[in-house]
Amino acid sequence: MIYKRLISRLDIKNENLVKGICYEGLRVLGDPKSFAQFYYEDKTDELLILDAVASLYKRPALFSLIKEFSSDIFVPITVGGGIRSLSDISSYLKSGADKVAINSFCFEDKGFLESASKEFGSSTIVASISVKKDKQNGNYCCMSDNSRTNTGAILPDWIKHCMNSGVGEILITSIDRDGTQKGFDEDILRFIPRKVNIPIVLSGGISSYSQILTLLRNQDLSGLAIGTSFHNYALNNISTLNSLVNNGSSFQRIQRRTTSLPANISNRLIKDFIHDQLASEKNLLRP
Amino acid sequence: MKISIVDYGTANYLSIYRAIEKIGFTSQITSDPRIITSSDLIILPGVGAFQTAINSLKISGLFNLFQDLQHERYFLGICLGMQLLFETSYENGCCNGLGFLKGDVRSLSELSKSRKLPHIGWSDLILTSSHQPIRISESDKCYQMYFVHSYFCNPDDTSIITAKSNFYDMEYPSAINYENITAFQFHPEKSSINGLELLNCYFNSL
Repeated sequence: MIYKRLISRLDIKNENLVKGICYEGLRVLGDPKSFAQFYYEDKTDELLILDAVASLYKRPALFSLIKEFSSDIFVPITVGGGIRSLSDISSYLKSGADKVAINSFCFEDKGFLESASKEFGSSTIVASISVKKDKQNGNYCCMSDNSRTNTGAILPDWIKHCMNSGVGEILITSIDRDGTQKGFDEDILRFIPRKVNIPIVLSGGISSYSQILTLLRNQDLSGLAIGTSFHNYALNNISTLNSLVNNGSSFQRIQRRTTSLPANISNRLIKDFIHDQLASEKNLLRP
Repeated sequence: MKISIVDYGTANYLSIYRAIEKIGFTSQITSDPRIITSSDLIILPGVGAFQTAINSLKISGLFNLFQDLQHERYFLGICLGMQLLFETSYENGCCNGLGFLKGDVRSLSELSKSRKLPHIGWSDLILTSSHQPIRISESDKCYQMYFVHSYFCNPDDTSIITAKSNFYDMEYPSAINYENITAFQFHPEKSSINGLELLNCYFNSL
């Protein structure tokens, strides 16, 4: 029995935290370290740091950012974006990353996931799959290069390829829902093969307590990565929370009457909610 | 106190280095036998394959050096580092470890079949009665640490187990302590405030 995970997702462009909608129209939200520090203090389980433009320039560029995180943030960090070689992976690990997420290059070199898993251990390698629904036939197409290129691969075939490559984890992002806060597209779940024997994390559009609960209760899913909804909360609370924690004051709880909230979510509040109000579900997330 | 973090391959050593720094100690990431010999505490960190790590230790001469230092220095094993302390691992066949502790290393799938592996995420620590130096507060509050592994350690002498954790409905050792040797299956450097407090308690107990 282990807890499911809430993962704070940060999309980075150059030195900024950004967020787009369906991977487009990137808007600058602020300084990545402040947000990452906020999420750490807000009891996030992990951080997912994605370079929003790396595969465009075909190089990873977050080394110094990750190094900066490592001096104050002591939860696992997964980093992705533009990883194209074993030495890219090694450089990220030396900078303080625990796991790397790889998407685009896997389509150029179909053996890359396997060699990376052998070299670094399967638990270091996350296969990142970004999917867009084909409205004509209902298939989910795997996209690369920050959702610009249709690779021709579809779910569930590409999930099977990733599994057979020996990776430790799979991250599936709904491009159609990314940044929209319209909820994760649960239709994607029908395209996840029955017996996937490695952890699966979902991302894209998650914005309500009720969907978070539904997805966390699903035995096949291990975690959820949330961007916009966490950023909205952070933007309203960043200076307040950091100063409260530094002063040693306890965080003020806000009682919610319903399970459905505006799209503005705190790691700590949802964990408190699950533990205090849903005692039978308290094993879903660590307190 | 002089602390060495043993570098035996490709992994994130920076986090444990920073965690140690955060709690007010200094350390060196090294594979230099002279630096390691002159250390008081030798940390075996890491994530990755058992065989690869052992091969790396043999090539660098550290495998034999550690045999000489076994009773002369404090050792702290983290995750893969904990597993290396034992006699044998059954990861990808059979491989001999440092042999400091009697017992072997087995797949979590032996505890509970058809479960997702690796075991990635936060899990409760259940302290056993002999739980020094792992107690981090006066209360008996349960606390969570971050795990990422597919194998677990199986000591012959179960009295050295200071904490257990659950893999679904089965328990396995998540922390051990025997004389000068301490080891954690989880990553204290990735376990937020509780992990840092645990490291602090451990270092202050030496």
